[in-house]
Amino acid sequence: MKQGLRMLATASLVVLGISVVASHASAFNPRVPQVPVLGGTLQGYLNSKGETINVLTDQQDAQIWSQSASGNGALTLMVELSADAGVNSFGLYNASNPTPPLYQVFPAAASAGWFAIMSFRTLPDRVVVNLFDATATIQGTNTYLGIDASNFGFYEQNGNTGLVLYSQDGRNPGLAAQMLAYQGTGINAGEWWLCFEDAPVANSDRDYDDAVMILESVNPLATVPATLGGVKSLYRK
Amino acid sequence: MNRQLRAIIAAASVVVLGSAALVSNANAGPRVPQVPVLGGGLQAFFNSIGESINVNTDQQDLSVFQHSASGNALLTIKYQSSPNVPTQLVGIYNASAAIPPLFFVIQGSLGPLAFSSMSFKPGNFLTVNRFDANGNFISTTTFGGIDPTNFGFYLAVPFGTRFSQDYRNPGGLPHMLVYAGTGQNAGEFFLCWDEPSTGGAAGDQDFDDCVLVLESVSPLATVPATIGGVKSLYRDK
Repeated sequence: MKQGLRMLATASLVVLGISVVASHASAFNPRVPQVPVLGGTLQGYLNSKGETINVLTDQQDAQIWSQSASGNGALTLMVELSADAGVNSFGLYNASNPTPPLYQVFPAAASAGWFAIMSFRTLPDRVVVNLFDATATIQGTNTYLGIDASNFGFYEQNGNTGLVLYSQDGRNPGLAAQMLAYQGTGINAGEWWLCFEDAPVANSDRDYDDAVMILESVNPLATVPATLGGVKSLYRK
Repeated sequence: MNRQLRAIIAAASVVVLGSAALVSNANAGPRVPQVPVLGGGLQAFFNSIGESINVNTDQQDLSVFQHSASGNALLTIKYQSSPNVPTQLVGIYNASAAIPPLFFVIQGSLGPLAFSSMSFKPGNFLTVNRFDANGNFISTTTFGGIDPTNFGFYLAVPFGTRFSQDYRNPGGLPHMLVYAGTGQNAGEFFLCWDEPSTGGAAGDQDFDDCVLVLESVSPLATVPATIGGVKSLYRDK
């Protein structure tokens, strides 16, 4: 029996390795440990927007998200500081799916000021993405079936290499953080800054300013650590 | 300065406040006094969506707003309980204008889950994109002359137009109550309207005639239209 339990626990950890499990606690905590952010441009950019965020110490442990009461979420591409900006696309995926389909929100052609409204609807489960350019002129509408509105993540894909990087560390090369999340402050309270590093961290400049977005009207889910304790905590009441 | 002159200046200041609500950038507190909400419909609605809001004690002292860093905001119809739903029009106005033009955002006839995006652009332009409950694009309008740093909301029905700033309404009565979202709705605001009755008389105080979710804006604290309120604007911080 003990061996069986051990195997079960091991299997659980494997599952957790490929699909981060979320709790529905609305509280979220700082990322532990905080990730080094190099170069100073992300800090400079947030400062220029009147934020009081410290990019080295204010990272939140927010990797996956759920819809809020409105059923709508807004994602605005604020700045792209990458040589690959012209080939990088961004979107959503179901966080609990081991091999998730990708639901594109921003095509590679999108640039600073573009924004998208994601409308999560049911019967059938779907997300309707309305895309706008920087002048708020509609650029297109896509409907994706099968979205899990209660547990989704964000991805970045390089159009040249096909490489996909995820908001869930556990899916990335070396289990590295490719997206950092910061809570907005002051007039941006209630919003989230999503800051992407578009190359695998081990081979990157770690500046996390390759794409910076503001995410509004959705709610982060607390990430359960991929440990046996984390597994147990899911079943504790 | 003699006493008479001081009295004149103070009186003039109160008059000015009566025609143009002044705002501070401080976070809002509770509305004082709280407004009785009758009928139970609004409380039942909040309960049904898992909100922990108490409609009689959780009213926020909010009537005016400003845009956030993204420049985009969403307004979603969440609930309606009125025979006038087909004629409801909701929009924004410049809160500091004595006789403000009305900038139409969304019509009640679209029903719950319909929404509009409001994109505040340089030059005091506002582009409104409207969608039905399924996320289908309906229409777009660009307005000039909007003040993105200080705007209120209005509800128009055939019996009259009512404003988020109490003092603009007949008898200075509140017609819109604001509640801050809780749990997964943190960072959002519920705007809860009480329509005027036939002939423009006061409403039934149920504040459930049109309930909207407002996202991605920042509230401004209303400064009371009193001499103390005037003084507080000039005190050192």
